[in-house]
Parts: sequence; C-alpha cells; structure tokens
Amino acid sequence: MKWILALLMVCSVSLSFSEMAPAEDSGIFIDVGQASVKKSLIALTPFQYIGSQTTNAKHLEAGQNLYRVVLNDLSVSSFFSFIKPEAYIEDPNKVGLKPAPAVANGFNFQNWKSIGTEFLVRAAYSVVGDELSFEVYVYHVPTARLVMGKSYHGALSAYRKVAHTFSDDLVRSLTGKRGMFNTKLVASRQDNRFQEGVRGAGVKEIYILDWDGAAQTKITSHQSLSLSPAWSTKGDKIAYTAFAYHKAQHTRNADLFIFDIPTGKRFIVSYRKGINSGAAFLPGDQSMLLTISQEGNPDIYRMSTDGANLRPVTHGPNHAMNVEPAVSPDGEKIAFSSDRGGRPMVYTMNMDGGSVKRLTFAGKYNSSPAWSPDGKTLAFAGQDADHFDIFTMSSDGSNLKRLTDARKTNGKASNNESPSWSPDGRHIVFTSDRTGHSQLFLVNPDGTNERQITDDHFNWEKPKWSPYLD
Amino acid sequence: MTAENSFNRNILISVFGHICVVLIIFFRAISMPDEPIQIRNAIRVDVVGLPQKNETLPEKVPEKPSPAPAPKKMPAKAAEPVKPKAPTVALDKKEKKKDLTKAEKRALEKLKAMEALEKIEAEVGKAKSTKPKATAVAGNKVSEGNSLTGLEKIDYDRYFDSLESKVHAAWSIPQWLADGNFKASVQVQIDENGNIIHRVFKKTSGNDIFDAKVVEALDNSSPFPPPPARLRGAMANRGVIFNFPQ
Repeated sequence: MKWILALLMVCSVSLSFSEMAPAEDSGIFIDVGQASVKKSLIALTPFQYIGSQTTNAKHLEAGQNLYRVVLNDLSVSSFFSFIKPEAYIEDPNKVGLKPAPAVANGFNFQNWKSIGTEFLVRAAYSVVGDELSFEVYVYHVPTARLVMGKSYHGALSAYRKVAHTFSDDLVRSLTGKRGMFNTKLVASRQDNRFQEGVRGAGVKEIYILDWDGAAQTKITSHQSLSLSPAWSTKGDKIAYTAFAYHKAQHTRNADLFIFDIPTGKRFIVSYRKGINSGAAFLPGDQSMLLTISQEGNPDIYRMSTDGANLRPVTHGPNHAMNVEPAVSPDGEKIAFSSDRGGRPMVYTMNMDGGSVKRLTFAGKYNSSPAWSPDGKTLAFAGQDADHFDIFTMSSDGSNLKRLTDARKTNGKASNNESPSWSPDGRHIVFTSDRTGHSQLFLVNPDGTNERQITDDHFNWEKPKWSPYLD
Repeated sequence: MTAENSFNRNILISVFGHICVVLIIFFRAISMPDEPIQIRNAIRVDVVGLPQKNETLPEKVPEKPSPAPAPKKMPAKAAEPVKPKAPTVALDKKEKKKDLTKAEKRALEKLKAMEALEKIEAEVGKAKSTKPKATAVAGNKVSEGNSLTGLEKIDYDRYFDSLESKVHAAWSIPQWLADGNFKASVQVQIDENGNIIHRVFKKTSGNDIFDAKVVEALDNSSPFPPPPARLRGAMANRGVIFNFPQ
C-alpha cells in the first residue's frame, strides 16, 4: 500500500505543478482604444541677446520679432500650451542655455520640472552687420534630454524665415513630419470698393503672402478683376483668371494666365470666349483642369499647361454647370460643384468624367470642394439657411462635420467660404466676413483653433494654400 | 486474500486513471494553448416582465428587429468607435460546444434588440410595435437557459471591460505624439486584490516617451478591480495583454 500512497502523492504534486506553470503568453487581449490627447506645456523663454551692441534698438527689435513669429507658429501648431513667465522659478535671463552641472551657470532642470514643463526652449541671438545668428536648444524636461539644438544664420531681413525654419525643425523633431510654417498662401485681394469713374477702385489683384498673413506681395497688375488663383503642385507657378481687355473685340474676357514665380514671366494659356477659370494643376504640372464656358454652359475641361490639347471632361447634362474642379492628391479623382441635380452640390468623378457620384444632399448650395493632402477628406462651403459655413466630410460623402459657426458684430451669421488645406493636413484656410470685411482665417479640421490671419480693410477671396516650398 | 488482491487491483486502476487524466490536462495546456479571447462589450439582460400582446400585429413577421437610427449611407469609415459592437458570432467560434450556448446568445441578442426598440418607441411616442415584441416570447428561453456558464461569461466580460475602462480613462498622450501611429502591447499580471504583480512589454512602440505614457497609464490604473474567483489564477499567472491603442 505504501507505493500506492506514494503514487497518490505524485498525482497531487503534479496537479499543483500544472497550476504553477510559469507565465506564458496570455490568451486574453484588451484593446485600450485611442488615448485622450492634451497639449504639452512649453516654456518659451525670452531669446537672449548675445551681441555686443546691447542698446542697439534695431538689434533688440530683431529679437522681439523672432520671438513673436516663433510664438505664433508654435501656438498655431496646437501642440503646445505656454507657461506664463510669472510662473518661472528661475530667471531665464540669468542662466545659460545649457543645463547645470555640465556648464557653469547652467539652468536647473528641477526648476522647470516642478512647474510641469514638458518642453523648455533656450535660445540666444546676435546681429553682426546685416546678418542674424540664432542659436536654440529645446529640451524635454521630464527626461532631461535635448530634443534639438541648432543654430540659424541669415540676413536680418529674413528673420521670419529663420523663425519659421526653427518651428518646422521643432515639429519635425517631435513628430517626424514636416511643419508648414514656411508655406504660403495665394489669394485675390480687393483693394477698394468699386466707385464709379474712379480708376483702380474695386480692382482685385493676386497676392502671395506668408501663411500667417505677413509679407504680402502683389503678382498681378491688370487693373481689373483677377480671381481664383491656384498653385502648381511644385509651388513654382500660379494660375489665375483675369478680366483682360481684348483690343480687337473691344471687350473684356475672363482669361486664364500662368505666372512663373522664379522668373516673373506671365503667359496667357486660355482666352476662349466666356469663362476660363477655376484652374487646378494635375500632378506633374503638365496638365490642368479648368472651367470653360465657350459652348454656353460652364463645363470642366482638361488641357496642357501651354493651352493645347483641350478636351472636355464634363458635358452637362441638361445644360448643367460644372465648375470648381479639385484634383485628388493621387490624381485619380476630381471633386467639383454642379447643379445637375437642381441646385449646386459637391460631386466626384474619375479623371475621364466617368463614375460621377453625388456626395452632398443637405443644404441649399454646396461648393468649393478641397481635398485633404491624404485624400481621405473633403472640405467645402455649404449654405445652410442664409449663410455659408465650412464643412468637412469623408471622401465618400459620409461623416459630415461643420467647422465654423461664427457671428458678425451685428449678430447675424457670417459667411465662411473657400476652404483650402495646409500641406500637412492640420489646418484649413478660408474666408470669413465676420469682421465686416472678407478676411482670411484658419481652423483645424476638428473645428478647433479658429483664428484670424489677416486684419485689414481689404476683401480677400479664394485663398489657396501652397504645397511645401523647400 | 482474493478480496484484498481485487481491492488493490482496483486501487491501482483508479490511480493509473487519475494520473492519465492529470497528464492529459497538463500536456494539453502546454501544447495546445487556448485561442486568444477577444473581448467585446457584454451586457446583462434580465427579463423582468412578460411582454403584453401586441394588438396591431402585422400579418407578416419581419425577420429582424432592425431599429431605424442609421441614415442612408454610412459606409465603412464610421468615426472611430472605441469598440466595434460586432455581433457575438466571433465569440462562438472557439466554442464548439452545445447548441444551447448559441441559443442563449440568440436570445440575448433578441432581448437587446427588444430593449432598443422600446426605447425608440418611448422617445417617438408611437404606440406601434413590431413583431420583435412577440418574438421576445423567445426571451423566456433566457431564463430557462440561464446556465452558470453563460452568466460566468458575462461576468468575465464585464471584468475585462472594467479593466479596459480604467486604463482607457488613465491614458493620455501629448498632441504631438498622437499623429505618430505608435502602438505598444504590455502583458500585465494581476493579483487577487487587483494589484499589478508584474508587467512586461510584449511589443514596444519604438518611441520611449510613448512607452513611458503607456506605463504611466497602467500604473495609474492600479489597483484594478479584484478578478472573479475563477480568474484569479489565470490573472496572476498568465495575466492579460493590453494593446495601446489597439
């Protein structure tokens, strides 16, 4: 019997052994889902002047200008919340750019950690003659690690480019993706209200400007109405429509021009009778789409950028108008506006005009479709009741969202129109008349971070955001 | 003597049989691990009253309850649901068990649909009812079929749901990390009090700040709810793998 009892003991031991098997791969998986996101606290400390002319007002102003541009860039990025200087424990003007104890009189990480800083920017600049030098270090405070350390040099007049380049570099260091701070906008600007008999009053010219509204440069002088500009995909050309005067016919016509930015040369590419407007370059910039009304109804055509090889993409139906073509980033689809269903709505079709699909059904008037850089989303202007707002939807028409809903100073709903995406897909520029004049605004695709870009007495129209320019 | 020999022989046979069973269980556990359990939302449904007869029953009986909410075109890209409320068909895959389990699931689904319909009717204020109310008579099967296995599964699902909710609530990342499409998986072993015994990355994201946020979310979620009695061993030894985000 003894050996029977021994066997029984072996059984019980083996049973407990199977329970104590080492942790193996668990068969139970739990998907936690998307995290909630929050902005990072950043201490953008004042830029120290390390030049020799400490009382040179021009030098000091350069530093303030640099700071202001960087602050605006980082604020618009939506990545950061700024710690107020009053909360700083140590005076950043009295410590160095690098941390102690590695350098004498270095800053103390703990002083920044204790106020919850996630990123610390330490920078200094100097001006020698007309050259600006800017040295900047960005630290991740919780890990006491240097994220980036760079120095920038350029003409004093190019301080904006220096600032934007730093902002781009910081975004790339953190996200691995390009920032949009060196990109530009092109838009039509109406200088004055039309006045009978007053030369130049009410004219609209095309301007290129920095995305933040600065450095506005006029590129047309038709003394007429210049409208609907569009960037080439490489960002070196602007197509636009201008009501140019035809001497032979003694009349004006909406002709399509291309302006070559590097050379400053201008070419007329389509001057067919009627409208030649709403140009959109195809990838590669050898061809473009535009709206032409020479046959009576505005239809979308495709042609080479030298004006040749014109062929229709749409034809009605039933004398419908088909306008505002927008090429998808992969060059496979066209979004456009058409009233073939009775009132203007947004449609998509293939490049050959086939497979037309209506995307919008709600609202009175939907127009100005614009593709996001990843091709997954379309922004457009939709008229709801008595005003226009900016909407986004998935490229199949689902997931409709409203991004704007502002009021004018008189309490009435404002008109928000003409959306265009930044090349990183994180912002949309549009026009809004909420201030009384049509100004440029931007908003994030989720409807947050709505802010004014231009603030003047002009009327801006049809802005388009450039591609990456460097 | 004969009786004693017979007794000893029987004991031997019994012991041999028990050893075989133990060895089978042991080697099965090692060589044939269970398929991963996909966690889905589960709700508990109790029939608390018999439905009344529908006065305006249509002649034809529609097969599905089909509540009306979805508009015409809502194709695949619907906005990021946290959990797909997929039908529980997938859960049945691993169980080749009995038809009783499938019948229970069907009955539960019908009860859920019935509840949803009743809510819609109450909001719209219509008196119309559809056949599902009649078919809810089939809900009686739930009370008849309420076996321990079915309720246990619901308890387990609820427990894992509570783990997910706690970690999800504690998990946040900075905006600049959000677009990076980082993913990580962590195996966590939990004791009977809900404390983390051990955690280890099964897959890192490649970004140490993202990984630090994952660890922070897990640590801030501890202690978790104590696991049900029958799960304690598994949670302590095998644990559970959290996928961030999924």
